Amino acid sequence: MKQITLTPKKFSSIALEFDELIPDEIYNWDEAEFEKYMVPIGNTRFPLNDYFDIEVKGSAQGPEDVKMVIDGNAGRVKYIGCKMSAGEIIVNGDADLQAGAEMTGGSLTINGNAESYVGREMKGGEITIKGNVKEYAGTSYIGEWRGMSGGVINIHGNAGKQLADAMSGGEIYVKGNCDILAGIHMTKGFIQIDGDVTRWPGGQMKNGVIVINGKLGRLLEGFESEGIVADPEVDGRQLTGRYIKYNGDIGVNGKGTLLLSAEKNRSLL
Amino acid sequence: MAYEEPITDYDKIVENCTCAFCGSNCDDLDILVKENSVVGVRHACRLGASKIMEDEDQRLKVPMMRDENGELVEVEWDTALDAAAELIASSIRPLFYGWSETNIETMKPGLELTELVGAVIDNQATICHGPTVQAVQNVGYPLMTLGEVKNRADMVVYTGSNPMNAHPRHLSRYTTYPKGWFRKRGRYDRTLVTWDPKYSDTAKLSDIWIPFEENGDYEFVNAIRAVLKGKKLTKDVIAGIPIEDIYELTEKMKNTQFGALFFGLGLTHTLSKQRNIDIAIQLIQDLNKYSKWVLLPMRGHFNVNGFNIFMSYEMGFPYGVDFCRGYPRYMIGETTTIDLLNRKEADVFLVIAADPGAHFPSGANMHLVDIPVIQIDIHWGPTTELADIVLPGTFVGVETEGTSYRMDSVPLHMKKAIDPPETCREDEWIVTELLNRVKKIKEASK
Amino acid sequence: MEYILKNGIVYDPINEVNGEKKDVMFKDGKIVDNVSDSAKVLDVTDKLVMAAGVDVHCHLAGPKLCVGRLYRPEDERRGVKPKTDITRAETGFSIPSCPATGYRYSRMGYGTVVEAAVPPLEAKHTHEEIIAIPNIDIPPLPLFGNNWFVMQFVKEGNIEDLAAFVSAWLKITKGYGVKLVNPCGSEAWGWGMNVHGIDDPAPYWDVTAREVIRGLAEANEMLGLPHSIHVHPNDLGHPGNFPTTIKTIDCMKDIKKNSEYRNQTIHLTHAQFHCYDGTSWRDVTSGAEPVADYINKHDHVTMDMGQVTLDETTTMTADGPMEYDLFELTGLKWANKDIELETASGLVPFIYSGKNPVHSLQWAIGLELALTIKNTWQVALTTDSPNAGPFIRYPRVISWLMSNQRRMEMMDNKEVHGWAARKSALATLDREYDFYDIATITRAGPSKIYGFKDRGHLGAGALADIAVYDLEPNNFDPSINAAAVEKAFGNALYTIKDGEVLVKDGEIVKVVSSKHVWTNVQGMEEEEKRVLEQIMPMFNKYYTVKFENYKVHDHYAEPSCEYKINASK
Repeated sequence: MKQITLTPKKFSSIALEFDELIPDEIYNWDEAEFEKYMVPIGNTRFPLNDYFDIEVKGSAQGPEDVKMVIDGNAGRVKYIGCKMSAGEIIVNGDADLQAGAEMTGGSLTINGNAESYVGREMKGGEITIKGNVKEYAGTSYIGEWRGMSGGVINIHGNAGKQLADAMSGGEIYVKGNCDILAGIHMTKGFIQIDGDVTRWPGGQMKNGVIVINGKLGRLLEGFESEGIVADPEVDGRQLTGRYIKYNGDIGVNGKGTLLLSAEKNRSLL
Repeated sequence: MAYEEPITDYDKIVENCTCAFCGSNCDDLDILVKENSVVGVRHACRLGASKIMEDEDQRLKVPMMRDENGELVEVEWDTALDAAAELIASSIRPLFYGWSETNIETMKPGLELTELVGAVIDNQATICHGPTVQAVQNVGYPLMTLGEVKNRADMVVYTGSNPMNAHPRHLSRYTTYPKGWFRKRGRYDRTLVTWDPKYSDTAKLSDIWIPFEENGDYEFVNAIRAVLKGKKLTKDVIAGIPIEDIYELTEKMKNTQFGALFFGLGLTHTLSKQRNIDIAIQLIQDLNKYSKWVLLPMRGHFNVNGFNIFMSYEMGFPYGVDFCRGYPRYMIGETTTIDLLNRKEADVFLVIAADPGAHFPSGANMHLVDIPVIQIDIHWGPTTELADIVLPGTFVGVETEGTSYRMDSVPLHMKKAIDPPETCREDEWIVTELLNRVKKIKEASK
Repeated sequence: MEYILKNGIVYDPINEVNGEKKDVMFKDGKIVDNVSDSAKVLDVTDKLVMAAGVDVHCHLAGPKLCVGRLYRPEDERRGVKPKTDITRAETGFSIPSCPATGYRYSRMGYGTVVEAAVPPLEAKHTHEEIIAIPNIDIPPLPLFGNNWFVMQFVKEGNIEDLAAFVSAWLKITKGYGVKLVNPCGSEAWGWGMNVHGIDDPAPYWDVTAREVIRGLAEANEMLGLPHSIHVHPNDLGHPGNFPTTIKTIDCMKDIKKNSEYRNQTIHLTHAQFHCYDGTSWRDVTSGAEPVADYINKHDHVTMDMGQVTLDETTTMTADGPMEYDLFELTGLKWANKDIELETASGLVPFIYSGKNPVHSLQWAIGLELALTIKNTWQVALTTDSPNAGPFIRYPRVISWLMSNQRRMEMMDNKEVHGWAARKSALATLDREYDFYDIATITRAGPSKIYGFKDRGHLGAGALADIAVYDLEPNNFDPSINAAAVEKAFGNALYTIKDGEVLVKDGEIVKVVSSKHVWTNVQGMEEEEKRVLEQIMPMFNKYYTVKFENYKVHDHYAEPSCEYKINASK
């Protein structure tokens, strides 16, 4: 087990890019290598140890043995955990753009808020955000219709606009509220939102499942109601409670499923 | 309105010049010249004419830099260029913005400079039709050249766009009034439709006006698509429109021979942003099952599309391109101008042929106050108030030739009618000078 | 500067050199018969030497490329390569950026690539892209097959004026030859319709593809253009389309050729897409045999393969309606661009997979055509890039043509679906191309097809456009070494263009500007003037640009390589 602790000591308004510091790349680095490392900032590289106090303990045979802790606010550190396949990264604060993007395995925990693009094009692994996320959590790359395809994202706070755009697999759980157009262009996957949703979940979705346990502000005409279902089983999952079940988005001949809590959405009955 | 006599006192007419204002790029302007001065212009609308005829007003004539009191004072070209080059060469997150009102020939050294120093290069699409580009990247781009509309269209729809104010000759030169090959009666052979929450000047001329509620675009178009698929709408009113009107509109659109949809910032800037265009594009694609439909974004500057095309063919991505890691990256929200300014990441800002002082959200402009700003422009404007170094360019389309791309991507070679003021320099020259001086600085530091 | 390329094994079919150990000498950009002792020696002992590649058909420079790039950032992202001291950054996999396009062709030893389809209204855009593409010469082919003026002249039977129009338009667009794409069909697409077969009239114009093909072929020969008409027939991609293809190449066979260099009066492009039998995607089979049979019996036809490479790529053609059909089939994002008075175009991403029965059959058909047509001078190697696959796969296609073992392996190992073997004759064809054949279909033949006397061969006077590959023909069996063939042809040992070494050991060492190659017909000035006056009222009324601004100004086509030809009267 190797634990790498990076304690932020200097703030850079120009964001640092951490795509090279993932367990896959650094599992066999000792403290000296970290001290030597030049982290990309803008068009230049600067010593990592200008910005972080670095401590390395233990050893690792592979990335799965690595635990990297950023012990503080990483609000200007982009690409944390980008493309990682194993190991654990913990951020004791906020994380900047692209956290966990293209991840294929391992786990990333953000004990603060995450900026946009957390878990972009994720293929596997697990991301947990204790705070809120901004736009495009669990999204695809612009233009790419095959988006997040695996893995799990747990958002304890609120999710911003256009959650899980073009999702094609995997699971997302939002404990808080969610903004417009969650699951837009979705083709597969499972999204569960426990809080309230402002407008239009599942726009242009072809398939996949969206479960909303809170109140929905506005529903799209592209969804046709099948009536109320009790304790439905979807995608091999057993849900409890009464839901209004919708199929859609018929505008794209979609066969997706939208389940709205019957109790919270009585106005739609 | 007083009657004004036609202008008769001129030496020559330079015919078929291309207008340097909006994305209509009207190329039939006749510029009347007397002794290297423009004394009149024919065929331009009031926007294009005002840019040409009011050019003298607050024209930037000399290079300037701020003195110790913070006032802009005249300096030598070398002084200004060297100072600008120093700033660019030593910056860590340089951002080169604008480009939409200059020629392709100027963008070339601009891109080369970007590649050299690892900067971000971006244009007005980032605050304008960027969401259109994003929507296109998600779902497709069923386009045509404007002549197709002129010759074939029997239904023309404007949404989120008010051409009578923003593209004044659009209807008369291209889409609605001209007598096309298959529409020999012009306006009488076409149905003009406006979808707009407000009763705009374009709506006033239209045969059908659909005032869906603000931010209702996505919901409204989603309903039309559902109707196309045979659904009976459940609500009585959708986005403020009674469903009978939605059924009627859908039928009309299905049964038209050739329909064209034009759209603008009413779609790109309201609640669902790029998804408004996303769903409109999919609607157009759906309609092609029944009849023929095409669409086109109403680009606002004469070369905003040109920059996107230029960047696409040079470096694959259309705008918001970041070269800081030695290869181009395109990531909306990360490599785009407003975000870089809001996050206070840009440390040197070069603005050319654009006016962020007037058009950016104030949060972004507040950061421009704190960093060096280099302006290349022809007029004093709000951006000049933010600039630290001012480099006076020349008027592309009147004083300088060059290439531009119309909103429908037709390339045009813009002529020149007069010579520029002696104290000004062509944009291409200025940017090339910056490039060469930065190269020297980089060589010297090796 | 003088150079001598020493001791290579040379394949130069135009000069009938077949694997001879021979020196190739060049001076000041041209091949010469001898050089002085101070010539710089490039030792290529025993290595494979050919003229630099000549590509007859590719989509690499023009408006629909930018629609593609703009709307497929996910494709651009795939091919990203950081900048080096000599090269700029590269982007794009199936639709590379302009610099990437030039570097990638150059690394494969190519020197000339034809841009296959240019709408005249946007020709300046094509030329701007040629300026941005380094290291290869590019002749563009403007589109004529759906042009309103062309259809009017054809309807009137007025071939003299049509010829003057073509002559004028080649000057206006700085174009090289006459391209037809789905004649009359892309005009029908202006109404969302299409035509089927060559006798289906375009709506309103009431003119058929047969008439347009014949009219343009006659005009082409009247002018004596260096290339013949270049035709993408109607019904592309439809099961049962091979009769349309044969009718297309047959309907003008009586028109006499007016050129002493090329052999054909019609070039059939990306033939693979036009050789399907059956009635639907369920019962489709290969229609390659009847088409190849026709070509074997008629020497007025040449073709290029349009070989499917089994990649995720982007389709883009001026065949607007076909692209819409593809959109309905795949549901992937569809782009379209109709051009007033001239043509249409469309794009859809496409994922060719060896697991898919239809794609596997398509893969087989392209190869079947190349292996069934006897005369290699009638065959050119293309993938209709990027439609059937990106051009960077040419080395792979070469390796397939040279190795029956590899083809059988792909069919036996299920790298392709069983339909490839069952529904085409590919599994029965054990013919293998040798290096001479490859040189024929990738350089010698193409240059003859285009009337390029100055390239595609290594005789004295030719441009010093030379490629050297890291293969030793005397010591190497391509039929059992497909992977090595692909690697070698993808990374030239040397690529030399106009006598300058641009590539060494597969890396770009020098970047030069590309030349714009176009045909300047002399002797038709009066006729052109008259025809322009005649059509000007229609031009002024129905186009949305002024005629003065329509042309490609000289500075867009610099550096230029003009082929001046004298129109025969």
